[in-house]
Formats: sequence, structure tokens, C-alpha cells
Amino acid sequence: MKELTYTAAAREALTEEMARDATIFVMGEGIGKRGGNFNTTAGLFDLYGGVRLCDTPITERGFIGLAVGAAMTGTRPVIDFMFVDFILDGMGEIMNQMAKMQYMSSGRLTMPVVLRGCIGIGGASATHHSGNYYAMFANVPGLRVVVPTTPADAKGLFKTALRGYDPVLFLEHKSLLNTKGPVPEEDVAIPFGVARIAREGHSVTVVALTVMVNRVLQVADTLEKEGISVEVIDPRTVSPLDTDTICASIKKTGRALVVDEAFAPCGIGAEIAARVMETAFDELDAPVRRLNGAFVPTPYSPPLESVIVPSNDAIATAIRDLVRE
Amino acid sequence: MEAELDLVLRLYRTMAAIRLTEERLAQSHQAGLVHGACHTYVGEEAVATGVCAHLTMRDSVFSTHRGHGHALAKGVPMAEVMAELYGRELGCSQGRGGSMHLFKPEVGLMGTSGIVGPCILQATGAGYSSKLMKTGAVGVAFFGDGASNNGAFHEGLNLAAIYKLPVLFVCENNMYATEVPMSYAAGNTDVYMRAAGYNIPGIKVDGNNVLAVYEAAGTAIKRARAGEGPTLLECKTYRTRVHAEGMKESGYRPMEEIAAWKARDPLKLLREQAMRDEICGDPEFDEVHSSVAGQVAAAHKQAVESPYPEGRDALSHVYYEVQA
Amino acid sequence: MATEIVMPKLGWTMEEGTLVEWKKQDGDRVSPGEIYMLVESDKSVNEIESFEEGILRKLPNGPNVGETVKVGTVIGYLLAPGEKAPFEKDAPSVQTSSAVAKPASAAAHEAGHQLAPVLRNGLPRISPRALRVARELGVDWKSLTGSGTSARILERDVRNAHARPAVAPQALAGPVSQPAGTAPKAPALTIAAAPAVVTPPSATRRLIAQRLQTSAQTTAAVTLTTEIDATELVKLREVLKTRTGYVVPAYTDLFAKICALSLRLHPAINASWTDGGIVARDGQDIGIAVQTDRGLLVPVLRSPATKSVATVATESAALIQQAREGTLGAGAMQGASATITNLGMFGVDGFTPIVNLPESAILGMGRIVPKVVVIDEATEKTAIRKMMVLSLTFDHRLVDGAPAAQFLATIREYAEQPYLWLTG
Repeated sequence: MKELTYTAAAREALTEEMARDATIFVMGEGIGKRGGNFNTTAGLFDLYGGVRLCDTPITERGFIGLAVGAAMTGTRPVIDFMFVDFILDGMGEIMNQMAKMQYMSSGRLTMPVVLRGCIGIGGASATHHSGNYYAMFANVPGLRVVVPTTPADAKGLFKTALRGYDPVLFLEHKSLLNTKGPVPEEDVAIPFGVARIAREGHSVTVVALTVMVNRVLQVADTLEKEGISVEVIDPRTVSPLDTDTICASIKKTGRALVVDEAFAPCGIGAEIAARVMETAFDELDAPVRRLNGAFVPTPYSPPLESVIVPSNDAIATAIRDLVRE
Repeated sequence: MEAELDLVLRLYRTMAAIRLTEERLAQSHQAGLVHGACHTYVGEEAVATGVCAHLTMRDSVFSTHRGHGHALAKGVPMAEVMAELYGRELGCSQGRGGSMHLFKPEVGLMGTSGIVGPCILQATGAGYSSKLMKTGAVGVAFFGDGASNNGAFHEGLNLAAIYKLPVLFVCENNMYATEVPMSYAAGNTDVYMRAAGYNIPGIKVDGNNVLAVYEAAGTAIKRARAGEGPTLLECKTYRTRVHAEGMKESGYRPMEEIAAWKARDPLKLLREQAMRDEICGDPEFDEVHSSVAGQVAAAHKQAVESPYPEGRDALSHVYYEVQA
Repeated sequence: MATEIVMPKLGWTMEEGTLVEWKKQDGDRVSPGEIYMLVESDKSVNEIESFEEGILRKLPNGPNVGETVKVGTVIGYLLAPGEKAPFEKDAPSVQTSSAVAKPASAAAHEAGHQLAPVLRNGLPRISPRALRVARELGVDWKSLTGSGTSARILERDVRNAHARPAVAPQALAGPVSQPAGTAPKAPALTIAAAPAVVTPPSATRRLIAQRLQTSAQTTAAVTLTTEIDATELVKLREVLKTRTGYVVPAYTDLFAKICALSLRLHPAINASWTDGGIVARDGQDIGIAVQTDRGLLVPVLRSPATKSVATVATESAALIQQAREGTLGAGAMQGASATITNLGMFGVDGFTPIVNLPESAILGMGRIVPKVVVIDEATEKTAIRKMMVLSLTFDHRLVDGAPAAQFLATIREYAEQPYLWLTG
């Protein structure tokens, strides 16, 4: 094990896979010599040159469409969006072309594209640099949606994305980029659709997404002293979504809360609640509860920004209420 | 170099294949064999034929909603095109696509599309693959005058230009986007002039003259393979049938205009030129024509006899599946 | 009941339709799947197929062929044989066909927004999990009260009721035991307090009640409790679980063996109080309390002290299965020196089991929970150990507190250090 930041762990995966597979190339604004706005490609230009580290004009739809054509003809584009908010200009290319191409060609074409970039609220980034879009992408057949929380998961899941044949949204919460954690020395590719049990417990199951996993873990330590034993589950990928692990935990606890910074309506929590009711209704001792970020665009000023995100206090209250229910 | 007679008859054969297949499909549409839309390419055959005559199976073609001609010119068997519109298992997309989603990557037909514009970007991506992997393959986008007013046109041409990608952008300017005249929709109806904005060559050609298209495309593709970058080729042409089968001429274009373009039928023009240049005459063309007619009839029969796909086939290939 | 035939809605934008032709005539029988009329909408003529069986009656003042009416307009009925149409005199009410029924989503929406009362249809609200557990344990949950803030009956409420039969008259479990700190209640009181229905007990239930009442009234029962460290027993089972070819004993099996071995060292416990005097017993057979559909049964393990753990486990599994299948002979439930009863799986720690006469002792097993315990007070060393409460009820008529406590101490020693007997 070594200690790496989240970004360094993901970069290590990219560096190793680019060495292994000459068809991988990266596109994005400032990802060449500059090394990426978030250092996602620092040092790679010197290793692999300007064709494989392709700086782009500000033409999101253009290079997403380009990536589709490139993937159809045998190469593996990785698009680094810096902020995933910028992806929205190319949604038609993603939803109508990229996501449907394998299906429409009956599997004769593959679509190994990785679309990466940071998501999430924080740092007074305001509304065009703060979106969480994973629920929207999880609603599209043909796409894989990955939301790693730890450096080890960032590396292992990025490797799986770079070795697969499906289009993958690889979404990195900006508050996680500089967090550190142990990363295995070995070459580990973590499969999609397998949740991680971040903490074992028996009183209540809390499913948390991306940065909320870390918040819930902090809260769980406090609640342990009150005699509430919290099991924390990090799905790691939301498409596919591992509800088996969630339901197995509920079988033990009888109660579940989903904590998600993203919006509640039609969100991942709604999907989890529905699937739990379909497969584990008889295990529920209380309704599945959700705690989400507010259903608003993201405001700028720190006191406005912080109020729309689930706080540690709000998480603790939600868990206590659910356990008492 | 191919003998002139062989080239003329080869181009004629492809155009006749497109024409007779399209006429068969129009008839099948009236008979209820086509379940959805059917956009024919009648009148524009010279463009796909003249361009694709230069391509190998490793070159890739990205096409439009009016893509039957591109598919046939790129080498998709007639029976597979017809069967696709009939919704059958034999169809080149196994019944998943219909008229607007023809796929045959095995021959480099990377898809026709129901959305106007993306083909321009995808051909650019094929150019990028070629550059990265140094394959020498060329990406070709066919699109109409309508797409030239879409952002994808600008973004794709600019990206291909700055990376010097081996791409050929073929604008089939048939003067109407569905029923909206180009003279209404564009500040400048000469699409080829926009190439200057990207510092790439822009060529205008008579899209009903297959030999002219063949020559212009040849130059552009040679340039692409030599690593000198993309070309915009504007082919002025006209679709002589309605936008989609089942629609009516609603008066958006003058009947005289239709008649004038029908008189410039690309098959007829090729015959006339060959006779003028004393390469060959009607007997040779007629022989090709009737041989193609026989193939079309046989392909139609094969397509109609193909079974419908099983309902369960609708659920596979959403994601990559390990091939058995 | 008569089913309405209405002008169907055949597309999102269809507002009215034209009756083109009746394919069935007034009085004809119509089967599901049969085409009974043709309707024109927009540009196409559609065949309308029946989803139900019935006799067609056209509305006398309904649309004629060629006439156009709004979607949803009633144009006829499907009737059962002999039934009168609503337009005839004395006809009953009409069942609205699905085509014009109120959208289900609207109804669900209203229901979802009702403020949830404690009572629903006269019954208390219960969580799905609690309902499942109540069905599994045979607990009559209708008389229970929810203990959480939602007032919904929860799993723990059902399990508590299950462990406390006096509160839930139909609960089957634990008739030999009372949770610690709860005074036993007379059955008569409970029945009087039950809300509505008085159910006559089964023969088995009656027998259990009679035996327990006798025990409670005649023995001088005292319960001793002690918390023991069951870590080694847990390890033993964990190790066996990871190996193939080994029988994994239940905790009950291990304690049956331990109890029998301990009885050898404390013969005073291994006796019965009779009117004629104290009767000592030779062997050390151990009863195990088994919950079954018909009530509590206590099959007897023969001489577990002399048998390997694997044999004990195999024999007890067979006995439990026979008990549950109802194939246990009466002889198989007699002759024990003491009984083991286990409520640990229900989260119970200490309780006061009732002696199974004519035996003189019963050992109650609580749940095994990880706890922080002091290993060495001097160095302030602590560790997480698997702890468990044992509850021993004995008949004070037969022995005094000290020998009974010594007996429990032996059990504790054997449980905490299984090597003492596993190697012997």
C-alpha cells in the first residue's frame, strides 16, 4: 500500500493503462502541456506526446462527437472535461450517438469512451461548475456511471473503465480530489456494480454517494457512542447499481437512509428506495428515507452554498430519527 | 489505372443499383412492407457513387437520414438494405434501425443517422483514429445543406482542420432541408466557401455529374491519405422524389424546378457523356441496367422471405457482451 | 354486473370516434378476444376487441352506425346471462369499464397523502418486517403497540411479544420462560384484557399451560444469572465452519454437553423432589426446548457427557426435526436431568426460565454480544470479547443457593475454557 491523493491515484491508472494500450488518447482543454486544470494529466504529455494528449478548443460537442467516431474506428478516447457541467453542450452526442451505438450496431461496434471530470458542490464554484449529473446519466441505457470516493477506488475503477468497451462517465467530486488514502501497489481493476461496505454496523444502513460517504463515516463514529451502529455502503457505481449489497444490509438492519448531495427527485435515492421495496419490502422496519441536497441551482456565497448540502448535523439527525421511528 | 470504359460502367452499375433499389423501396412502402420512414436518394446517386468509388473497406462512411445510397455505394448488399427497411432479421442492422439506422461496419458503413450533424463529428473522429494509429484510412461524412447550418459542421471542420485529419466532408446540397429552402436558411448558399474560414480547400462540383464528383473526390482523398488534411466538397444536386415516401409535393418548390432536375438525371447524363466521348452506347448501359434490375428483384425476394427477428432480440447489446 | 361499452380512446389525440359497424348484434354472446365493433378514428378503421365475456345489449338511444360521438360515451353494455341492462327497469348498478375508470395513479396519489393514523381499518399499523416476523413466529400482532416514534409496530415489538406470551395470548414461544424483571401474569387476566376475540387453546397449549402453572406454583424457583465470556465457543464454531467435513454444533448442543458434564460434578442438582423424598438420578440426560408450530416441545438428548460434540450435534438436529415434524414419541421427551432453553437469537440476555418438572434445574442461554471487557485492571488493559448471560433456575426445595451457584460456576468454567472437556 502507498498513500496517494485521489487525483494522483486516478492519474496513475491513466499512466499505466496508456503504457499498456497504445489506442488510448486523452482530449480536453488544457490537458496537454499544462497537465490539466486539476493535474489530471500532469507529466503525461512528456511521456506520450501531443497526439495522445490532445489539447482541444472550447468545442465540447465537437470533441464528444469526435470521440464517438474514434471509438467506432478502433481507438479509446478519454475526454477530460475539467468540470462535467461543460458536458451538457454535447448531450445529444452522448445520449443519441455514444450510448446507442453498440445497440444499434447489434454489438458490432464497441464504444470504449471515458468521459471524466469533476462534479459536486463546494469552493464557491457557483452554478456552472457545481453540478452532480449522475442520476441523469444513470437514466440512459448504454452508459456506465462511476462515482468513486476513495483514491483506491478511483484508481481501480478507472482501470476497469479504460479496459472495458462501454462508454463510462467517471465523475470525481471536487472535494475529494486532494483527499489521501491507501492505494494498492498491485494492478487492481475494480469491477463495476459492486458496492463497498465502508463501515459495518447493525442498527441502520446508510447508503451514501461520493463525498457524502466521508461525511457519513464521521457521523457514524459519533453515533456509535450513542449506541447507534451505522453500516455505511458506498455503491461506487450508480449504473450498474448494486442493490444486492444494499438489500443484504437492510436484511440485517431493517432500516435504510440514502444520503446524496445530488437532487432527490428522480435521483439515485429514489431508485434505491424503489428497488428495496421491490426486493426487500419484508425486511423494512421503517420506510426508506432520503437526505439530499436542495433542489435548486447552486448559489455562490458560502452561507448560501453550504445550506443546500446535507451537513453532518443533518445526517446525524436523519439517522437518529430513522432509528427511533 | 482503370480503363475508362470499365470505370464508366462500374459507376453506372452503382448508380443503377441505388436507383432501382430506391424505386423498389418506394413501391414496397406503398405496399406496406416498410414499417417506418423511407427517405430515398433518387436524383442524388452520382454523389455517393463518385465518392465511394475511391474508398476501401477500411475507410469509413458516416451518413444521414437519406443514407440508402451511401450504404449501397459503400458495399452493403441490396438485400440487407431492403430487409432492414422491411424490419427483417437479414437487415444490415438486424431490424433494429430501419431506413435511418443502417449499420455495416464490416464494410465501413458506420451508420446512417436520424439526427442531422453528428456524422460530421464522427467522420472527424475516424480521421483521428487514422492519425493516431497511422492506418492511412479516411473518414467520410455525407450530409445535406441542412447540416451545414448546424454547429456540428463548424466544430467538426475546425477540429479536422487544426489536427490536419484525413477526412472528406461531402455536402450534398439539394437546396432543401426537408422543405426549407437553403436560400432562406443560409446567409450564403455556397457551402464550399465556408472552407476558407477553416483554412482548408473547398470545392464545388456538379453533383449530378458522376465523373466530376469522382474526379474531385479523388483529389481530396489523395490529399487526405497524404496527411495534408481535410477537404470540403460541395455537390450541387437535387432529390427528385418527395422528402419521405408517403408525403406530397406541397408546393414548397416549383414543378418546373423538379422537371428541370429530372432532365438532368445523373444516369442519363452519364450515358450522354459516354456517347459523346465515344466510350460506349446504350446497349452496354442497357445490359448493365437489366442485370441490376434482376439483382434488385432477387434481393427484394430474399428480403421479403427473411423472417422477422425474435422479440427477445430487442434486449441484447445495450452494453458490451463478451462474444461467444 | 353490467359492463359499459364506451367509445374507446385509440390514440393520444383522439377525442371522438365514429361507429362504423356492429360485428355482433343485440343479444349476441361476446367472448374475450372477439371483435364486436368497428370504430373509425382520425384516418383509420379499428377493430374493437372485447376484454370480457357477456351478452351484448346496445343502448336504445345510443349512436347509430355512421354517427360520431365523444370518447367515453356509453354505447352499450355487456351483461351476464339473465341480467337486465341498466336502461331496463329494476336493473342494478353499473360497473364502469376500465376505459373510463378513474386513473389508478390519482387514487394512489390521494391515499399516499393521507396522514397515517395509528389505526388502519381498525388495526394498528405494522412495518413490513414486523409483519413478516409475526407470521414466522406465529405472533398475533393485532393487540400489540408500536414502540417507535412512528407508532408502527416494529420487529422488536413482535420479538418482545414472542418472548412474553402473557402479553400476546396466541404467541407460542417461551412458555418455560419469563423475561427477567417481568412478573408472570395469570392467563385469566390476559384473556380478560385481550381486545376482542377469545380463542380456545389447543390441547398442546392447554398441556403446556397446566405444566407450567404446576411448576410455578409448586417449586421454590430461584434464578441465578452470570455473564460469561463465550469467545472460545464462538471461535470453536468459526473454525469448524471454515473446514469441510466437520459438523458445526449449535450453541445449545455445546451447552447440553457442558451441562451434562457439570451435573456429574454436582450430583445434588441431579435429583427430583417427590412427596416420598429426594430421588437421585443416575445418568445426565439433557432436555432441549424446541419451538414448533404446535407449541413448545422438549426432546431429550441422551448422555451427551459421554458422546462427541459431533454426535451430540447430529442427534440433536434429528430430535429437533422430529419435534417440528410431529414425529417425536412421548418417551423421547422424558427422563431428563435438566433442560436447556435458548432465547439468544431473539436478542434476550437474562431471563427467568421455569423448571420443567420433575427436573430440578433449567439453564437459559442469552444472546452473544461483543463487549469491551477489562482484561487486566492493573495495566488498564481491555479487550473486545463475546459475552453472554446465563440464567439458571433451580428448585430451592432440593438444594440451597451456594451449591446451585457452584454448579453454575462449573458451567461457566467449561464454557469459557472448552479445552477442559474437549480434550477429556
